[in-house]
Amino acid sequence: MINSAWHNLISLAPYALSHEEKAAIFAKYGNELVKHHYEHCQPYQNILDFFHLTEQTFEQAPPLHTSMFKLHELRSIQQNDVFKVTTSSGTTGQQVSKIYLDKTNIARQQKILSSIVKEWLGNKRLPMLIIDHPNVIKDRFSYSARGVGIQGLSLFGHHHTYALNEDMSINWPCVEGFIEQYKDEKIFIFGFTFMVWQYLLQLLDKNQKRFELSNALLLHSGGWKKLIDQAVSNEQFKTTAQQYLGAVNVHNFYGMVEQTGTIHVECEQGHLHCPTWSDVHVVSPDNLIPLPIKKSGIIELHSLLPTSYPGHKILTEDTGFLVGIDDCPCGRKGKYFQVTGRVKRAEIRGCSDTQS
Amino acid sequence: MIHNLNLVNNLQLLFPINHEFELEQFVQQKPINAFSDEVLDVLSELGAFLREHGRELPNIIAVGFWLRKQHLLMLKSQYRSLHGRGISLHFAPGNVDTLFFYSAIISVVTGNLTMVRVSHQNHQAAAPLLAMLNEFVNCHPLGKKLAERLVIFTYEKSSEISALLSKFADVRVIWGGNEAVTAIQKLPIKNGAIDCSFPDRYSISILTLSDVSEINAAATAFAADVKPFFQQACASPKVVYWVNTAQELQKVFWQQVSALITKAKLTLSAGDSLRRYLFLQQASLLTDNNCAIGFNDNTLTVIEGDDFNGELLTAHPGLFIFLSHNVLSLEPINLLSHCQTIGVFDLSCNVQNEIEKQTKWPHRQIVKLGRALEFTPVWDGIDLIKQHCTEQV
Repeated sequence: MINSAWHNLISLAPYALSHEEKAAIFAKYGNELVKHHYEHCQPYQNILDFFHLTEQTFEQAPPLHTSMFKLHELRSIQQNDVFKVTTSSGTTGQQVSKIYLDKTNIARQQKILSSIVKEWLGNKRLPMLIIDHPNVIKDRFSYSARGVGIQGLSLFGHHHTYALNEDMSINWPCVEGFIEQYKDEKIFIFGFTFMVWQYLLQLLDKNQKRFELSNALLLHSGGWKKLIDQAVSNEQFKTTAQQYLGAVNVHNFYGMVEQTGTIHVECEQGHLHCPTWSDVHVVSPDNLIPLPIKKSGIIELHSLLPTSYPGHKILTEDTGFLVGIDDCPCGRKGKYFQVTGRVKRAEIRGCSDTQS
Repeated sequence: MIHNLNLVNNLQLLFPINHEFELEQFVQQKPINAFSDEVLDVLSELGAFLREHGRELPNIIAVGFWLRKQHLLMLKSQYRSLHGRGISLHFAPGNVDTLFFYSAIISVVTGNLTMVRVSHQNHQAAAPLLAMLNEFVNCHPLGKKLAERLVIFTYEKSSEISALLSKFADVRVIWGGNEAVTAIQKLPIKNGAIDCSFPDRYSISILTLSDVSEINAAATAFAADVKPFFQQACASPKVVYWVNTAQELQKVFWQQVSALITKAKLTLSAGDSLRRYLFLQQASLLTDNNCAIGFNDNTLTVIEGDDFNGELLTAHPGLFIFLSHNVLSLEPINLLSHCQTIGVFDLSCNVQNEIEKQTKWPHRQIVKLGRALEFTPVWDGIDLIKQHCTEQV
């Protein structure tokens, strides 16, 4: 039974296993996971049969395109076992990914997220400043990616304080009160990259205000696209955050709603690290064959967490490259990588394009 | 009185360039007889010019051939005396290199005043032919005659401008996806004016091979139908029906088609590849019938199945994916209502004869394999020449 395997997996340390040790775990549990989804998710079975898989192994299973979760209902549990549906953030009119979760899967996501985050935050809960407005997590049954992120990471904080009003203006009394109260303690700041940049750092700049935090950790995540459009680099983001907030360690992380739990946090060297329960392949767009270190390609994400939906092997639309394996100067084991952007949308050829 | 004429300032003139376009003057001109000697002279001269100067560009040479006087006279002989209706307004894709001009030729040759809007995004594909048309106007004595009766422009997506132009149209020709066509159809035209619409279509091929010696010709013809626009043109086949053809022959056929596509260096972008993977993963979920991958290499993928429905065809992104279906006769072939072109390869001519005899596929373009993308004045069952004319008075 797939869930029982987790008794062994859940207590592993996030960055202690070498590539070989991880490969053994993925071969064993990954294969079980593929069989589990094949047996419990009819559409997934249809897909694997369509590709004539000779063996239902983790290695052979095709990575599902992220849009598959937008276009089809993919779940490996009964409808009445669905406890929560999380969705990707999408602008109005766009279809969003729907991820069907049962209680077991949610608990596991939280546990793994906790193991990873504690590596960066420490074991103690910290006063937490959230760069968003409180209504973003209003609906309990259906969370957007932003809601999922906030909900997930709130477990590591106390005195949760939302920095923004619903109109995205800064709630000054709230933020200033929070900082006054905790300025001598270690604090935890979390927000989506663009929100932090646009609605916190830019506004501090505009209002010529600065905070003098003495010990803070800023975790941020989410699409870089908007910032790339404004030509803001990761480096610049970090420097600006330190300029306006004070002594703050800034860590970006890369993750997606299709694999909630296994986030890839950026280390002190600026590398994104795979935790024990996830793996990253950078593959050639031509044939999905993994590329060697330093070669740019499409990012394929593997995770052992998803049991209630077949999200264990995902083909993203992000591009990047592996920086190395097991030998990051920060000391963490496993693969580490960088995300460089997004695949350009396919060109429309032929005659359906007359209105544009 | 024309209102909102200042909207016309937003038009970006593509042909004739360096001329002032006065909409008000243009629409006051009168149509003339179809296939008049004067127009045939201009167009056949233009044809010669394109054949001479379009050396590197086969599609432009093809336009040149289409405009041979002999071909134009042959078309003329098929119709009784006709007269142009008046103003013909065309909405054409800018990302297809010559379609906009075939559409325009029909209305010019039938004596109409012709306005063509090519789409604003990605209209670079149309640039080489436009450049040659402009050169013809500048350096050929008859060039001016063409420029008097034909204008080609683009503008940023604007239903206001499209609405303004539509008010003058006696014939409106709309190429495009279903949404684009519907949006333009909603804009009012003159009383008695005619719309010729060409929305989304799909196309098929019917092949029968009895011997390995036939494969080369079949594969070459088939590749010619699918290579342009990476199989995304409406006339390029997405479904292949094999009549009484051994699997072994089919396999060799696909290998040869794949080699021809590879040879043409039609490289997919990463975005194309992702679209391709997405469709392949979706395919079995979009139909209740059995389907699975048959042939697959890095260039093309064949999906074999019992039959294929509309949902599957709508999601189909081209990009060298083929839905393959084996039949013993034409009987089980169910074409959907939006099927357009049927390319046939059958050296014995039995299938060809059977197709011609049966009546269940009216208004389909039935052509020899390899000629699916050749433009003909009857398209989707619509006779564009007739639609552009009234009986001569």
